[in-house]
Amino acid sequence: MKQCDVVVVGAGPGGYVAAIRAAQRGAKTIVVERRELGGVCLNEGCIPTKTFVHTAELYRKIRRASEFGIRVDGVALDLPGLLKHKEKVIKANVAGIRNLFKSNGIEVVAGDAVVTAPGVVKVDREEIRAKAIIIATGGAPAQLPGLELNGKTVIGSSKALEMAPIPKRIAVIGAGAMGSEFACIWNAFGADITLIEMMPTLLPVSDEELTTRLAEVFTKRGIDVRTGTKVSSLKAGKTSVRLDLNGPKTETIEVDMVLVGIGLKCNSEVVTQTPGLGVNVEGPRAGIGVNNRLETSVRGIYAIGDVINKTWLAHGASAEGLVAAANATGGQETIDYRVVPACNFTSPEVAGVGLTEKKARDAGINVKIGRFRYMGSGRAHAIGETEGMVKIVGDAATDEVLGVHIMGAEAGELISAAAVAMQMEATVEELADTIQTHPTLSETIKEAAEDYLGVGIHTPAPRKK
Amino acid sequence: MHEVKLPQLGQSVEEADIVQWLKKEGDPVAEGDPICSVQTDKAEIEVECSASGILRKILVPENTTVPVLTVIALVGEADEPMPDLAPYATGAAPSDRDADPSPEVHVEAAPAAASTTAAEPGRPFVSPRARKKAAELKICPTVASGTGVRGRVMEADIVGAAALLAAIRITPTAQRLAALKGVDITRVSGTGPAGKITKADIERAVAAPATRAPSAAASADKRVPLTPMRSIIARRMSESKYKAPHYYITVEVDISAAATRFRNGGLPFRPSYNDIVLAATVKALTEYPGVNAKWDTDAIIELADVNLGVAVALPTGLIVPVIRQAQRLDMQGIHEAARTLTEKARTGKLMPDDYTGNTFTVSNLGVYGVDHFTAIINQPDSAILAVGQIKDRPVVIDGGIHIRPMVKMTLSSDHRVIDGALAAQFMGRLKEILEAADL
Repeated sequence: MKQCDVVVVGAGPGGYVAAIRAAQRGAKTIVVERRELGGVCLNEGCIPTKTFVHTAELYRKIRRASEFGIRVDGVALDLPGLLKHKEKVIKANVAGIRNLFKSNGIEVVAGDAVVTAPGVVKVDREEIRAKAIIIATGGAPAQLPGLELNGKTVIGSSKALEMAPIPKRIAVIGAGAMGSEFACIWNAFGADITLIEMMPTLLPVSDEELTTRLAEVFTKRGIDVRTGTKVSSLKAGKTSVRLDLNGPKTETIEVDMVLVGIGLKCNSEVVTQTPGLGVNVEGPRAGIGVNNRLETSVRGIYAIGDVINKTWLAHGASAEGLVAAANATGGQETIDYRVVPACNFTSPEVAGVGLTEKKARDAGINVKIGRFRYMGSGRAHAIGETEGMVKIVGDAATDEVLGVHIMGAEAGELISAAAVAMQMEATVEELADTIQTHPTLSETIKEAAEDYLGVGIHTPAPRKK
Repeated sequence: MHEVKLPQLGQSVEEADIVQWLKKEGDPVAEGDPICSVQTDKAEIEVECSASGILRKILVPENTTVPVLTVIALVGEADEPMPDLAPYATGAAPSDRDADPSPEVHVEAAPAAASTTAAEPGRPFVSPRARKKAAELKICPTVASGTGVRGRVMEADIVGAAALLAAIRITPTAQRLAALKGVDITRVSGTGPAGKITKADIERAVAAPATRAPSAAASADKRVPLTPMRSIIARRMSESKYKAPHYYITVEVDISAAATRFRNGGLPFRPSYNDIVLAATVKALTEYPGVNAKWDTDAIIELADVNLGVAVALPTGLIVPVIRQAQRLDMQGIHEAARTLTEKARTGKLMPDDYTGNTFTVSNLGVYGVDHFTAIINQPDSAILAVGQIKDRPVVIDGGIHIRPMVKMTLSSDHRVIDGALAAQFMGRLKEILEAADL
């Protein structure tokens, strides 16, 4: 039997952050992980897909090199090379976490954990007793009836990261972050993509105005975008798949492979398989219910990250991890989801923080909007990325920045300025008054703020009547 | 017909609000009767009637601001014919007209007569000068808590509020929301990082009055409404402690020589220990003009006169009457001035000039058995002397232990004006004067 102050189950971006914070606060901490440190994020999610995104973007750029005055001949994709690069990146990051654990005196126990009682975690035969438990077991793709994965012609995201060669014809079901990102990657690699989304827009949680423009860009790049479309049946063969699509265009298509990008479930078995433990789970995804201190219905058991079915974001899990770790070690902190930026690493990127225009209007707020298009940015022209827009959603009464949404190159980096502004409860005026470096894409945020205030320098003046 | 004028109420008072008429038209009045109460930027004062007869006409309604020397009433015989009233101003003070609210000010759209009418229920009255100052400082005049009669917002309140507002940490959104909802941010406690006021804090403040349960019955807490004096003390003390970086220097003084020389008879009067301390302080101040000085933003003004404030405790609070030009008085003069002023203060007879214009203040809590304390500077002074009780204490003199009457005195100084070395020299000299009874 092992004894400690805090045991964290799961070493993904929620769990490892929580463990380090708990150790920093002086707790003897044990982490249980059944696979690699870093979780899905590091091993088959965020980080590896970004290596793919980067290669796809670079490939796209190189093929456009003549535009920028470089003649390049004989460009060819080297998929095994990409997979090698991906493995290298993952290894470096996993090693990083291992070193952080070591330097913080955190013990790692390998294996499948079950919470058998408050304060007791069982890993195989071994029992770990702790004053507090933090569940950070994450989530996984759910097997949806009719869309069962077979690992060859019908696959999920983890298989997608191993795919070589890339099939010619691919259908992607679900235009959320993951589906849309792979659609862009494979489109850049030369595959024919059909992107199917049940909702009327791509990236349904993002701002509609931007995702409508994104759909136009996708179409221009040759992606067959089918929004408002359902898959009424899927027949998977050994080398191809037939899909009946039901939407604005009802038709049957045949593809070589289907990526299923919908369906998630929470890995809450860690608590549900012990009868009478009393940790509540909720909804069809079986997410663990928590309060704003991230404590479950059982005292001393906390839960964070995908398993609580809240943000489904790595940085969301990390933020929750910090709060849970503090509370598990005598602190009194609460989680605040007002400012959680997020980026879809599509091409171009779509990032946002705070309320979308629609959400703000639905909340009954008198909304005011400021916009600026990348077309008006000198830097955007220089780097050949003029497709993009910054949109600021403000409260007309106070000019509080309620949300900022960016589609375009480097949107994921640019959104951080908006997140800082929102965290400080800035008004649009502060965004407009902040001097930005010229020539940068960051200027577009200032310009959008000026547009909001009706004083945009690089926004054409309204025609005088 | 005799004209009753709003009297000159002090050196710097140019106008006053008529708060309340104490007599009605038709009432008989005698010279010296209180006829009305007025509020200046400094205090509330009763105006005495300057003639005897019948109060025939009140020319200035209540809640009106008029300049000093304005004719405010007519007194005459009951059957005397009324003169033409046209030449008398019956409405707003002239200063009201040039105080038109400029567009950036958050005042209710104010028709010219706004300041002459009673304040709306629940809305504090804002004096025209305060309004003008608020416009200048671009703050909403209603966020200042008024220290005038019935919560009137005076010019000094606006200045104080502006200083407080500048010191408050608040997010831009919260600031906008507070202005929009008319929330006084000085009364909101912030829950953000390092106590910063956030949007949620303002929202709570807006919601609070509606949700406050009528808990008075259950609670034993006593809510004491602020008297104007309490409001003034509160504002002036927090302003001083906020604006002036205070530091403290304490010396212990052997008072035996002074006691022997001045309190053993032989003088035509018997000075109190406090009189002796006051006289010694005045002497030391004349030698150290840097301590008898005031901060003036871009300069330090060393004041020609020592106008010595003497803090007097009252049942309702505290007031500081001022011995003017104390450097011209000998100890007997100081003794008499202090006695007269203290008496006036205790009976509420101080006139505004009796408690304004101080340049240095002495506060003595010895009578309460206090050994030693530190005081908050009484601005515009740059220092205040806090005097404790005289107590026999063992002291070592020439290697032997002696029992001597000792007193501890602490100087609080405004470091913007007075550096530590100067304060130390001043206190050293004060000790020397007292111990040598060199007065």
